[in-house]
Amino acid sequence: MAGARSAPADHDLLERVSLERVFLEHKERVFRAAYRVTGSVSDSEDVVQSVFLKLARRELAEIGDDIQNIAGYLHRAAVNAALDIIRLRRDAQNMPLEDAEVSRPLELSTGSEGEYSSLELRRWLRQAMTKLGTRSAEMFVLRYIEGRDNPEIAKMLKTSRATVAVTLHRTRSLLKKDFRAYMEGNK
Amino acid sequence: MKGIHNNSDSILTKAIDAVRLDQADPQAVETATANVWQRITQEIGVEATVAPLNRIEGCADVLRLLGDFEAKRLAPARAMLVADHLRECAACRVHSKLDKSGDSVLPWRAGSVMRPRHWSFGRYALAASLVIAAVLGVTIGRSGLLAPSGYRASLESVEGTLYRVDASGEHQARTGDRFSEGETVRTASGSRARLRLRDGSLVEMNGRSELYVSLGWRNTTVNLDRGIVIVQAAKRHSGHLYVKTADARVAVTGTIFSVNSGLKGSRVSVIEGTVRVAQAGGEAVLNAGDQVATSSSMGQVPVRDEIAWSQDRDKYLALLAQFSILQKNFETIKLPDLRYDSRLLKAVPDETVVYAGIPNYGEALAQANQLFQQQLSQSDVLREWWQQQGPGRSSNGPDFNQVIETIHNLSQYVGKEIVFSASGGTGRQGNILAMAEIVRPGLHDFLVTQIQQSQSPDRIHLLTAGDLARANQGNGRDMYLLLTPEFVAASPSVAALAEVNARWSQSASASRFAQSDFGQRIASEYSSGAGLLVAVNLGEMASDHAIVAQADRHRGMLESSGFANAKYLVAQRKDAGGKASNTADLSFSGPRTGVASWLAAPAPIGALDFITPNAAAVAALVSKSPALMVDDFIQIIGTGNRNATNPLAKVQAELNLDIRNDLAASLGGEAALALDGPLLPTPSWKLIVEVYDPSKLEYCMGRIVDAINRQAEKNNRPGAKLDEQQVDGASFYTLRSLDPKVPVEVHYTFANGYLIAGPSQGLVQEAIRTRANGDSISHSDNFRALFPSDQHANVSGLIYQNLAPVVASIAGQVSAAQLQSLETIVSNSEPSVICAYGDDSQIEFASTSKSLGIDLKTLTISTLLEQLKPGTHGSVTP
Repeated sequence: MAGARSAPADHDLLERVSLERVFLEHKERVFRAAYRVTGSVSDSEDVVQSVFLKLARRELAEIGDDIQNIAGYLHRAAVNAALDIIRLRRDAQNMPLEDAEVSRPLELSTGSEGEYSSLELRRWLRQAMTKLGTRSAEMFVLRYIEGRDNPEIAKMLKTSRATVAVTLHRTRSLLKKDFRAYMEGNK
Repeated sequence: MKGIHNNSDSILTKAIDAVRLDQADPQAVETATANVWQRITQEIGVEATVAPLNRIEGCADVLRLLGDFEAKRLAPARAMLVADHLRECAACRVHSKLDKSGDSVLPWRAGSVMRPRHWSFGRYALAASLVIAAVLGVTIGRSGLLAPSGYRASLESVEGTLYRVDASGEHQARTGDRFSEGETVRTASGSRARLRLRDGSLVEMNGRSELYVSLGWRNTTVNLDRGIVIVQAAKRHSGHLYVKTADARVAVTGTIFSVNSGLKGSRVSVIEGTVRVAQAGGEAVLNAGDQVATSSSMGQVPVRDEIAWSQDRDKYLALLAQFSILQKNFETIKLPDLRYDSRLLKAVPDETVVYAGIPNYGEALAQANQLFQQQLSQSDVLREWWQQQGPGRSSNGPDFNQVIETIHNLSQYVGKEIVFSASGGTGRQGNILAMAEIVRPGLHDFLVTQIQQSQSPDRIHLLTAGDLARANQGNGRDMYLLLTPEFVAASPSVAALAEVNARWSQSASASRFAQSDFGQRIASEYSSGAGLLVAVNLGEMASDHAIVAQADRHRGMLESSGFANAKYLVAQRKDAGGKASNTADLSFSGPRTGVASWLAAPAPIGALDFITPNAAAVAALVSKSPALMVDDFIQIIGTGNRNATNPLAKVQAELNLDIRNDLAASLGGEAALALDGPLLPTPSWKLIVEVYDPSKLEYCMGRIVDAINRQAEKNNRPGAKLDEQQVDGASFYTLRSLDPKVPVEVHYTFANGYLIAGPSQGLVQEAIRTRANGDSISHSDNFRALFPSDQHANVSGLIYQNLAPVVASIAGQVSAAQLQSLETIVSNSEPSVICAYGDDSQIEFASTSKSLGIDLKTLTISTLLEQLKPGTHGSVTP
C-alpha cells in the first residue's frame, strides 16, 4: 500500500512541505494540547493521528501557505479533535445531548481543609466542557487552557473580540453554575 | 452551600489551572507520537507532503482523477480523498465503476476513532488491523452507531395529509409525530407539510413529495425521492445539511432554497444565502435568485414561481422587522435643540389648564419621510404593506408626501416652538389655541394658497389684527387664523385670538398666567431646557364645575384614593446629545394620601436580587406597609358603598382570616414580578415579595386554600391542593389547581425574608441561587446603565424590558424566517427602564428610553405568542 507513490495526477504539484517535517515540528505541541483536554494518552494519540492525517488530506481550505499558519491550524485542530473525542466518549456513555443538563454528578469530595483535589477538579472540568457548545468550548480551551488571548482567538475563529469576550464570560458563568449544580446534586 | 456559591469562581480558576498544568509523561508523548507517525507512514507513505495547492476542490477534480482512482494509480492520501468524496456525492458515484461493482467507500473517521489502542507494528499486524478497522468501519458506518440516537424529524404542521410509508403500507401522520432514521414520508396530492429537523432546519413539502431524513455523526441529509421541498437551513456549528436527489446533492448552512426533483431531473432555486450544488456536470455555487437544473430538458422558471405554492405567513413578522429598522433609523434624525425660554408662554390665556410646547419638528419630519421613502424602496414587504394597508393605499385621500411637504414648508415660516393651550373653567366654546412665532416673510401667501386648496376654504378665516374687531364669531365649526408680523395663532374663538393679540405686546409680568403658580411651574421647565412639554393643571380641572358634576358620584372615592389632591402633571421628553430622557411629574397640593401614597420613597429593592440579568421584563416597587394599604382600600370601598365593609367582613369570616392583621401585616413593602427565563412552554415568571412573618403567611395560605376547597365543594367543582416538600432543609410549597380547566401550578418558598414564587420549583431555586451568587440584575452594569441621570440613589418602582433573552429562549420554537425577523427587531431595539420616585407631595417618573417605552416590541411579543400557537408556524417568504 505504501508502495504506490508517484501517480500521474500528482505530477503538476507545486511547492510542497514535507509532512514529516511538519509532524516532527508540531507533534508534541499537538499532543500536549490534546492531552490537556482529554487527560488521556491514548485519546491524545488518536487526536494526533486524526489531525495529521487531515493535514495530509488537505481537506480544509483554510490552511495557509506558510508554516506559521499550519502551526495555528494544528493547534486549533488539536483542540477541536480533542473536544470531539471527549464529547464522543460522553455520548458513548448513553448520555444524549438533550439530557446533558441533567447528567449524573461526579462524586467530588473535599479534603480535610475543604479543598478539592486537582484530580477531581480536572475530572469535573473535562466533563463539564463536553456540555458546552462547540464554539464556546473551543474559545474556552483556547483562552484558559491554551493561553491564547482574546484578539488571537477572534482572529482564529474569524469573529469579533467582543463576541469572544462575551462568549467567554457566559461560558465561565455556565461552568460555575454547573459546578454548583454538581455539588447540589451530591448533597 | 454558601461557601460553594461564593467560591465557585476561585474553584473554576483552580480547575482550569489543574487542567492546564496536567502534563503527560514525556516518555509517553514520545512513544505515542512515534506510534502515530508509524501508522501515518504505513497508511499514506513516508514521502507524504503538505501541498497548499494540491487540493481536490469538487466534483470536477474528482471526475478528473476517477480513472486513476479506479486503476488504483493514485497515492493513498489522494485515493482517500476521492473515496471520501464519492461516498458523499451521488452524482460522482454514478460515474464510478467501483460503485457499480458494489464496492463500498468507508469514512476514514469512523474507522480511526474505533481503532485498537496499541498495536504491534509488524507487517502482518498492520494488515490484520486494517482489515479489522475496515470491518469495524463498515459495521459502524452502516449501523449508524456514531449518529445520535432518537428521531430525525418531526411533523410541525400539515395541510392535507402526510403519510408514513413503510413495508406495511401508508399510515397517516399527525402533527407532532416524529420520524426515525430513514423513515419515508409522503404528502398526498394537494397537501403541504412542514417538517422540523433535529438541527432546527425546516423542510416544507409540497404535494406528492416523498423524502426521508438520515443523520450522520455531523451531517444531516434530506433524501428527496420526488417532489418539491423548500428548506430553511438552520445555522450549524459543524457539519452540513444536505439535500440529495437522484442526480444532485445540495450542501448548505443557514440558507433558504428549493429543490424540485422530478422525472427529468432536479432543479435547485436559491431564495436566500448561498448553496453548493454537486451534480454530474460539476459543482455550482448558487446565490439568492440563482437556479440550476440537472437536465437541459428542465427549463428555467422564476424562483418566485418555483416556490409560489408556499404560504406567506411570515410577512407580518418581516414587516415588524422593517418597522424596527425604521425606528432605529429615525433615532439618527437630528431633533430640534432644547428651548430655554418661550415668548409664547406669556401670551396664552389666563385660564389655561393644558399647555403643550412642541418643538418645530418640520425639518425632522421631512428627514423621517426621506428615510421612510428610502426604506420603502428597499423593502418589498414594507412597500406591499404601505400600498395595501398603510396610508399609501388611499387613492382618494391627500397624498402622504404632499402632506409632509406642506407641513415642512409651513415649518420654515415659524419659530422653534408651537404652543397649544386649552382653557377651562369659563364654560366658553372655542377655548383651544395654537400659536407660533413667525421667522420668515411669505407666510400670508402660503396660508392663502393652502386655504384655497383645502376642502372647506369658507370655514377657514385668515385675519389680521385689524380684522379682529370686525370678525363675527362662528358657531364653533369655523377656524380663525390670526396673522401678525410677529406671530400666527389659530383658534375657533375670535375672542381668544383678540386676547392673545392684546397680551402679545404686553410684558411677561403683565401675563396673569405667566405669573401664576402653574405658569411658573412651566417656566421652570424651560429654564432647564424644554423638549416636548405637556403640562396639565389637574387641580384647576378638578374644580371645573363640569368635571366636578361628572365626577360627583365618585367624588368620595376620588378623595379617598388621594388623587383628588393632585395638582399638576408635567411630562417632558428631551432629546439632547443623542440621548433621550422622558420625565413625568405628578404633584399634589399636600402630602400624598390614600392610594396615591402607596408608592413609598425611593429605597433599595432587595427583591431584585432574585432576578437574573437575563430577565425579559421586570416590574418592582417599594410600597408603604401593606396593612396600611388595606386600611386605605377599606376606606375607598367604604366611601363608594356604605355597606362595603360587610362583604369584606363576610370574606374574612369565610376565610377565617383577618386580612389586615394576618395576611397584610405579614408582608413587607417590597415586591417584584419578572419574566426571567424561557417563554415557552410556560412563561418563566417570578414573584418575589418581602415577608416579615413567613409563618403567619403560611398560615394564611392554608386558610385561603381551605376556603377555596370549601367553595369548590359547594359548587361541586375540583378545588386546590397545597403540598409541602423539604429540599435542602428548606420548605418548598406547591399550590396547584385540581380543576383541569384551570391548570395552574405555583411553587413557592421563603428565603432571606422573601417569598419567592414561580411556575416551577427549579425556577424558584434558581432565583435563590441568583441571590446567593450575586449574579442578579441589580448588580448588572448594563441594567444600571439604563437608569436616568438624576439625584436619586434608589427608586420607588421600576419597569424594565429587554427583548433579546425572549428571542433567545424561543429560538428553537420558531421558524428560521421568524427568528430572523425577531433578531432584526431585537438588534434594532434596546432594553429600557422606566423609574418612579415617590416624594412627600409628588411622584416622578423618568426613563431614558428613546421610544417612551411604547414601541413595536410589545406588539412583537404578542404577535410572536400568537404565531407560536400549534400549527401556525410560518413558511418561507422569499
